[in-house]
Amino acid sequence: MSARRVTARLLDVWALVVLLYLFVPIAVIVLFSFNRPVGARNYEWNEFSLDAWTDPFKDPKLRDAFFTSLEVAAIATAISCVLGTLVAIAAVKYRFRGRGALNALLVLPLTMPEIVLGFSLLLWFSTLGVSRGVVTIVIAHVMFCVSYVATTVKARVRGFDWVLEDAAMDLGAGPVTTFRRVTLPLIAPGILAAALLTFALSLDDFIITYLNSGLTETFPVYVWNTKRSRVPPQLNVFGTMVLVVSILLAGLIALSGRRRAAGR
Amino acid sequence: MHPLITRRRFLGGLAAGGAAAALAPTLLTACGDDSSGSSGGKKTVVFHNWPLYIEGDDPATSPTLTGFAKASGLAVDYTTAVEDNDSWFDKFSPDLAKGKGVGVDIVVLTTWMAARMVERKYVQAFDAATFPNKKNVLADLADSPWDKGRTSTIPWAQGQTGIAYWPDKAGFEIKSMADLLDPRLKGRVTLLSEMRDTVGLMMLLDGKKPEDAKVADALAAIEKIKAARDKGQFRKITGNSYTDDLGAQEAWASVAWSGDVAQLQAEKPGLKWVLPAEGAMSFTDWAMILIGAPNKAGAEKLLNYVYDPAVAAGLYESIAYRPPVQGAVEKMSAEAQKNPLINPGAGVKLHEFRVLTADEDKQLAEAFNAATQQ
Amino acid sequence: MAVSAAGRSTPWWVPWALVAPGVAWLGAFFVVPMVRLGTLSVQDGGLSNFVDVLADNSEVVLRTFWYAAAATLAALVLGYPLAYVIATRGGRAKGLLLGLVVLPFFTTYLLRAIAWRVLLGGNGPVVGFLQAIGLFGTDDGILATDIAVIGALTYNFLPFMVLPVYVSLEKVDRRLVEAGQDLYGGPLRTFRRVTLPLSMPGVFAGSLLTFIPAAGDFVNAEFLGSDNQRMIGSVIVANFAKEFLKPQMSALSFVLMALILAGVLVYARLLGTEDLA
Repeated sequence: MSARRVTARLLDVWALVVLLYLFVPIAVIVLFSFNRPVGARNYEWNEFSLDAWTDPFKDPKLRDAFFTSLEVAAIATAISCVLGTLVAIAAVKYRFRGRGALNALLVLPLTMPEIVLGFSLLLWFSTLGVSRGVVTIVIAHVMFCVSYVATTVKARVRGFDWVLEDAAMDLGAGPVTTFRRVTLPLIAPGILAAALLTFALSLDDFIITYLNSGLTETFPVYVWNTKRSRVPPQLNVFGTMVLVVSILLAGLIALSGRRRAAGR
Repeated sequence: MHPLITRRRFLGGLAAGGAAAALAPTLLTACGDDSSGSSGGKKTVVFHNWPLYIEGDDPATSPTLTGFAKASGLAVDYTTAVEDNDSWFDKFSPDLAKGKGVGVDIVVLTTWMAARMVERKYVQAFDAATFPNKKNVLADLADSPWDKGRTSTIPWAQGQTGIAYWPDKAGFEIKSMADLLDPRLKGRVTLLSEMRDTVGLMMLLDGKKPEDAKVADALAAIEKIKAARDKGQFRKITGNSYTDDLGAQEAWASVAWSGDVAQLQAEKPGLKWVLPAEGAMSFTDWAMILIGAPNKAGAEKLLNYVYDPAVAAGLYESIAYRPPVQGAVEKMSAEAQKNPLINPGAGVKLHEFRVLTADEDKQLAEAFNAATQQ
Repeated sequence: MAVSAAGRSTPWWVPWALVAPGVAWLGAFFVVPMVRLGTLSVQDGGLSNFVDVLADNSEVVLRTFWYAAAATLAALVLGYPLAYVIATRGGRAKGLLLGLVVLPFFTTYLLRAIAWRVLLGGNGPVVGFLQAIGLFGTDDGILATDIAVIGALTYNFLPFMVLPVYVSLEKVDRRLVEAGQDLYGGPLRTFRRVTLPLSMPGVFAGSLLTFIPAAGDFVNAEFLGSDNQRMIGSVIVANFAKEFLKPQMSALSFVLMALILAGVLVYARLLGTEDLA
């Protein structure tokens, strides 16, 4: 029996070590937002300073890039959720020829590295003569997010009891009304989860975006471009802000979930 | 019933955090800030330049750019978009070739690339009315066979290509390109991805003059570089971002540009600059206004502002490159006037790569690329 | 006639109409570009482009495979025990612990790479520590080594390994484990014969989610590695805009995909394909 306890202890220690390993770089990001670097690149600790926090928008291009990231993420999320949900519903609800091929098509982008997806898209845009900018970034993001949305919503929709729709229609509701008032509310949590996932993926995307953005900069592209000359602590300020708000929001959602569950 | 935080909910919450985090700064800055934006147009001048070509390499604090913004009421969208000539050209020439603007007003490129831009008509002629200070250009730079009378290009900076190194890290005195191939420096040397700079220096090491370059000699130098690279001698072969590794002492010796080194030395004394014993290269970078520029008049105003000797004095003293503006050196501090990078004497012998034909250019560019980037 | 899951028959065009927009998008912006990539890859030389590109980049291709495989293995070694602890001993803190695992994601990928640059730099804490205990001399460094890049790759994709493994471990019926303990006696034997096989789908999914993006990465190699650590992604990103190299870069992209496919097939064979469902 003591062998089991030793194993359990060892496993606990290992898990803790790994968790720490996960956290050290995050701690570095937060810590270095409070650094005043010698020179242009924030690689070495010099001295504590709140300069970056009091002047986060020192470079207006950083602010622009951040807003562009949000803009792109919002639009891409909206479009992907519509397209992906429609596909998910069709794939689960109906049996039709080509369903297998459809599922394969949905999985394919997820099995390819971003560099290939991005490069092929760039070649295509060049051939078409389309100039790269916000539109091409959104197109690219929707392309790889549709699969994520479809997969997430499919999982949710699989448990759906379609008899509910039949009941509604028997009661006289048309197909669109049925969808709006019966189906949609019930699968909404799945769509919401997919939307949040897509938003996060789009915000953080670098490789596909970099290859298809032209002069436009999203936040990750800005970081890459600016690194040529500078790595300012303001980057860390933005990183920390996003992290903190994410934690707060997650905490809020978790608490509300707990309260709702307890109240049931 | 699970009272726990479900994984999906937590993940969802964390993702939502990203959304809300975004909203926070939106709310903060939505009020009242007329963002300069990167959309160009009549209120902005979009400027693509090399790193370390304005004070502090920071457009937000550069006295030249902020002074211009205040004086003219225009905003400057300044990016260090030029990592090296080829990469900038590869990115933007497809549209320029179609006669389309690329949303950029001014770009600064090296002589051979500037010549190509002029030849292919990717640039616009200056309007003397908006750019009267053009006449202040130094006499020895006032005319070129590839741009007579400086119709559409004007020098931004002139510098030298040599070697920068950390004596303590290297452990020995570096005097020549041959030292960069020394096994003691394996993995700690960076080369420039500019063919003419790097291959030119290698050719000088081989005893060949770049101004009389024979293609075979250039190819031989490229072979030498490739062989050393395959053995792992070089840490990186990049454009201007060599300053990252060099400044952090991850690279101990680099082929470098003079003003960059002077600026790095100001931050980290101890970095040494040396012109290789066998010879060094010189270069000139030229500013030009692109076709389809969103704000040509604004761009000319900016160049005009820089070509004021008083402004130029401050700018070039800070970036430590030779100012192309008459009367600028005289307005600098005594120390700056003694700096050979800013005020080179007649004695320094520098080389330039001869003008290549389009075919030679292509052949050498592809060979160099294969040897260093693939 | 299309048949809905509830048995009601609907006009044949309904499912097609629903999937059309999504399929059209994927068709236009995924399938067609891939086809274009294919035609470009055999331009000016046909299949010999692939041979040439493989020959010229053999070192880089092998290195990419090695880095991705090593990162996947490291993620498994690091992540499986973590997932196991959370699934079996997490109790009320399961959600919190999983949240902690996922938390690194809520910073920009590039900022994480820069953080590793800070940590592993020559004047940074890790090198400082190694010098202090005498393992490193003043000239030794961790940047520009295979370990640095593999370590960063592992780090970035660790949550992708932990989550699927956790999901499959969580689904393991406790009674099976108890039965196994009655049958096999020791905890190690039970793990090997009951838990581990049941968690294989998660291991496989996690490995794919790690191996594929790791093989295509270049950011970590760029920030933490030197020329001697360059990966296929590095070569593509350095040359993607050069007109004269479009066929070669397209061919190289296919080589990357083939490499990934090879990795996946080898892996599936190793794990035994019946356990993957």
